[in-house]
Amino acid sequence: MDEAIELVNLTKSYGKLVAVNDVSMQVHNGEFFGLLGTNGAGKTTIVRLITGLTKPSSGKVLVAGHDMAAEPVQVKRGFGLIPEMSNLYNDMSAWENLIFSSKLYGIRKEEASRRSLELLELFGLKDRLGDKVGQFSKGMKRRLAIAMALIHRPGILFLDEPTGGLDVQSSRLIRQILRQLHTDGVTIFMTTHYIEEADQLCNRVAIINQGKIVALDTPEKLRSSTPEVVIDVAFDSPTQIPADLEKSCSKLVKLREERFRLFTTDPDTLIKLLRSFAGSTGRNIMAISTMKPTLEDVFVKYTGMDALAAERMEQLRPKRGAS
Amino acid sequence: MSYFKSAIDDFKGAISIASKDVRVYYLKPPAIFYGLMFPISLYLAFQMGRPCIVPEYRLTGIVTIACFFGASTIEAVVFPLERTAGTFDRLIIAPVSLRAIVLGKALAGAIFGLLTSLLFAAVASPLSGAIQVQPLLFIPGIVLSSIAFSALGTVISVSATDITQAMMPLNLIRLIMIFMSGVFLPLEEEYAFMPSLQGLAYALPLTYSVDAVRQTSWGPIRIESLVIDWIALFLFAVAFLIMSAKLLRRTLK
Repeated sequence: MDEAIELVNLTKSYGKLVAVNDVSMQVHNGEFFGLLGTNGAGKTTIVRLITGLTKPSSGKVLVAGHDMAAEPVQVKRGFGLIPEMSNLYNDMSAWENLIFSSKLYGIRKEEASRRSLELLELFGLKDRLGDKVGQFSKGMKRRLAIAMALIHRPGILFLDEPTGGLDVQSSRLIRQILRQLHTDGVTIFMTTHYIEEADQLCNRVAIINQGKIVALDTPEKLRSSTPEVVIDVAFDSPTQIPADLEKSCSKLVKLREERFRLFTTDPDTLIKLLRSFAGSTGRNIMAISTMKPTLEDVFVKYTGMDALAAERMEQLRPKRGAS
Repeated sequence: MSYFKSAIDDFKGAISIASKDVRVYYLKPPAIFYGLMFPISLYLAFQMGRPCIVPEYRLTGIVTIACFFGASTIEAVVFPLERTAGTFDRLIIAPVSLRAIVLGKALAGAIFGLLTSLLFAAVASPLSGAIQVQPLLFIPGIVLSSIAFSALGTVISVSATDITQAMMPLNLIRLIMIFMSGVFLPLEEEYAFMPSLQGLAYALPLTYSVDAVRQTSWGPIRIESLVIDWIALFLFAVAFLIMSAKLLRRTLK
């Protein structure tokens, strides 16, 4: 079996709202797969559908060749899930949480103790094994949640926004652990809205927008899938890009009142037009740069993010040199 | 063979869930306080305010109510709490059936109801007239009662997303049952105003529980009637557990 996960015409509706719309895709064995999308795009619903937390309105979910609808218990033995919200028992210690998880998977007592110690060591929680989880930081809770998801040594791991809301150190540690798990052969299915994270970690990435998969490929191929160049321009005062100039680019994203990102296949002409627009309206161009599209730009192109989200993304983005 | 193995796995899963629930939710000071103080205050209230109820009826009635409330109440808190905290998802993704999850939850409630009612009975029996408990016959009745009542609590609470959603219907149902099941009076006296309604009492699990506890606490014991009580309580428990599993399945849609 080459496919770890196979979704066939998967649809989930809540009344009139179609949260997941006829999604078909495969995740290969041993792959690190990323599902990118804005908040509310349908990422978490897809994870809930695959893991049996929600039933599909139509379509099929196959995990390691087993149909979730027909053999749920069999399917559940083969994966671990780390949800966005840490689902730990705060009144139990880290050790008790792990032992409880191992009991649910039918692991014998001695083996459960051995694995729990190993995992606590691996995740840097051995010194806190007797402490109640309620006293843990968010990063420690996330590490423990990953440890609990690994107690039965699953072949597939689902992570829903694994580094969401964590500090830089915790995020780095979790990414490091995920890389190691992937090297060890675990298939990883991760949802995130951190594009850089997906770019760094994933073999393949799917972009989901309004419940539909709008792009799916390796990050490299997605980046080269668009022939456009991105122009980032900042004026010295707020303005609106006029309609004729907007027609000259394939996509325009307003980052701030005076700052815009334009996608074009003819950057030279567009830069001339921007200069001419600035001159004719008595404005100065404070900065202008052209760059090859990043995965983030591809994401913006497919999802049509609004300006606010773009601005937030801009703050997260590392500085790049102008060409 | 495979069916037998999955049944064993489910049972082990249910025991794990039950023992976790007992430790995390039931063996907490507020739960224990509620479980014991509720029957004690009820007993004292009846002792001082309603001396007309004969002591034996008072004791067996309160033991049954202690079991009824002890077994069914905390589930109305646990289900919504686990749904809010996301820990219920941990159970759903575990390789156990939904039946096992429901059974585990119900067993935890049953253990609590059983222990608090037995503890109360042990303390209050010497103070209550002609009580002569027949342990070998009393225990099956109170065990089956605990499971049936806890399973009833599960039916009401399994799909609740907040505590009021579970607690309000649960309290309504329990109060109606207390008034209709002959808890403090013989059924004939309770339905004296309209004997034709007496048949309704036999549609309620509390009626069989009261009868089983009463017969085995101060007699007279009619074994065929006692066996009917046990069978009825068992069937109620099974029916409530099946309903709970079906309701839980519906919440996943």
